[in-house]
Amino acid sequence: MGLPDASGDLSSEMEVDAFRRLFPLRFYERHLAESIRPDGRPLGRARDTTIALGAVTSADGSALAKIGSTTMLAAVKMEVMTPSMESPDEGCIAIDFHMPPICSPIVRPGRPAEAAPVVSKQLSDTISSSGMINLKELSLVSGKAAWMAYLDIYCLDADGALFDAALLSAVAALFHLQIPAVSLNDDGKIVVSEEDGGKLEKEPVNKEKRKLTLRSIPFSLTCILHKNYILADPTSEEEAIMETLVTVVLDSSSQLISLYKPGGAVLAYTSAVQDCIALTRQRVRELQKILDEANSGMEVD
Amino acid sequence: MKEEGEREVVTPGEVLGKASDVRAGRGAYLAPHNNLVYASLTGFRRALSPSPDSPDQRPTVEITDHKAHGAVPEPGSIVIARVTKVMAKMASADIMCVGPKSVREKFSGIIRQQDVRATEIDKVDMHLSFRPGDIVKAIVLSLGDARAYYLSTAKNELGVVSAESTAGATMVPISWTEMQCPLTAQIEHRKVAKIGG
Amino acid sequence: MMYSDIGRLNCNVSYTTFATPVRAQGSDRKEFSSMLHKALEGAIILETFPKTTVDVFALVLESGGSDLPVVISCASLALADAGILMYDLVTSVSLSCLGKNLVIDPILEEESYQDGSLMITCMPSRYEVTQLTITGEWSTPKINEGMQLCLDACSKLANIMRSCLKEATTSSQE
Repeated sequence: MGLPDASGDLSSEMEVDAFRRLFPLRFYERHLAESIRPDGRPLGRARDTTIALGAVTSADGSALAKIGSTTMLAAVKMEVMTPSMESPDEGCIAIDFHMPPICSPIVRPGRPAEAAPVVSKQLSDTISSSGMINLKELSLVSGKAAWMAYLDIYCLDADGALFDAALLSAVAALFHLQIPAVSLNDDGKIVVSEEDGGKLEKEPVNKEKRKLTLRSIPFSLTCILHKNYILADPTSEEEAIMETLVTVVLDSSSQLISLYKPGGAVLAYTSAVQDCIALTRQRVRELQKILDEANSGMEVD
Repeated sequence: MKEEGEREVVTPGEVLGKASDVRAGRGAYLAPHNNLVYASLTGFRRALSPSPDSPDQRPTVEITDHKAHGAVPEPGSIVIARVTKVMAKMASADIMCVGPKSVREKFSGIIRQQDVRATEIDKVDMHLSFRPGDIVKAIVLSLGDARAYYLSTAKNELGVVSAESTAGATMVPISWTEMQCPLTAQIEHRKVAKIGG
Repeated sequence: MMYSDIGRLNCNVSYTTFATPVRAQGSDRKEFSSMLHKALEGAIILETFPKTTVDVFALVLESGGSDLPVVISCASLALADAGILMYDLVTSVSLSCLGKNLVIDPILEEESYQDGSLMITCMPSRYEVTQLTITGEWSTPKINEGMQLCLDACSKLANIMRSCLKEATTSSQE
């Protein structure tokens, strides 16, 4: 394996793996010149994506999403709370993103990942600004009781494009969510209804399990900009070498929800941004299809 | 030693044979309390016949690891490392390859002032020998302390093999202490490895 | 951190916030972590990797009862999959005493009604018990019966674990 380049004698002594670790940029640029990436993908293609709904049976809604090796497990648990004075008719959603040590060798119990709070905030902002959930649907008794939905997303394997996979699993979990049936008992407290219809003295507040109506579901695609190349859905190796990221979030009708470019060495000219948005548009169609298939697969059971 | 191929998969704790029949090789161990040889790895079992003139005629059984393990540095191995920090008396480097193989997880190495070169070791200026980002070829002196392996570049063929100039181009070695940037023609000081023997 | 000429083992068990029926703050379980450590340290051949630490991280995604035995067995499989030299696989089974009945591998509801519990961790092919935890009141014949049931279950579990490892090895070779 003699690679004829400036690193000269060194490259002929080592295996491809070693060259990839020592001179990663050179390794990648060789591939990019042929419009391909080391894992064989064309530049604009995302990795294989799967969604499995209902992964956690003890939660009210859950989903496991995998994009390539990046794996995210999202689950929603509902609790009853008193709504705030400013919005007595609305419930609340609390989104939290965790990166446990299992997901990556750089995370250890005493050394949490830097990406975790960033992605957590990004997710909260994206879901609330997309208008996907109508908080009024989470209200139970005006001014007295409303639902607090705790959405927790755990990264089980971190291999790049963390935000994309996390958003996908969060959206799928909310899609799968079934709000428990509850009724108001004599003490004015909300209790979970019995499965078999329940006693009549309790006033059913939420007759049967229902799903949320989700409007404009957000989907995202992260791209890396390097010189003139745009790489869609980066792996963690690609993210580490070429640091300029752009994340585009669109809803199912291709409306732009957010565009995120946190600095980076490469400037994003209008043409690059437009290319990213076009790639995202295509990706949204793919993801919508995958989510629908996962959902219909569940209904058969 | 001649090999006999046997493609049976074994898991840790499985009996491979009696101590009187086989010898424990890599991935196997002898349990003293009952004289049985057990496997200690998951992988394919292989029996190696002993050479005809060795006194112990038992075949050696070993387990080939199904996961190719990354290499681990040992005293005397030649490693390739990337310099991370340069201080007054030593430089830190991350060991990336042992021989031609890359490692799985990064190992930390230190090159102390007295191990940079073979002559005039107390007059060494660390900043004129290495800079962060340089790729160096070194030999492992010892397992070192809890934090890092001790490395040495005190031979002609050891030292900086690849470095970037301040302008960002890969420099060309001129002598054993200097490298030149092809873009700006500026000369920078390093402890350069002699390539080509 | 002192220089050590044998390897070190570091264990950490934590739960997700949605693992338990009632949402809890997902924190580390120190007790489980130290029990996992005790269960595994007898099985790993630490002399083979000096100056190195093996970190075992367990994240319980959903708690359904018998959590610690499942964590231990799973960790042992992970170590075998990683290629760490071990004396044997480690399997673990727990048992609940409900009145006169001994129930093996209890679910959460059964555990909440139990009068006593017994958990065994063993290295199956050497028939060595590495950990035994008993809570509640037990008569000696009952302990013997319980241990026999658990050891039997452990060896059955070990067979399943072994065939799983073998399948993974042969399929990764193709």
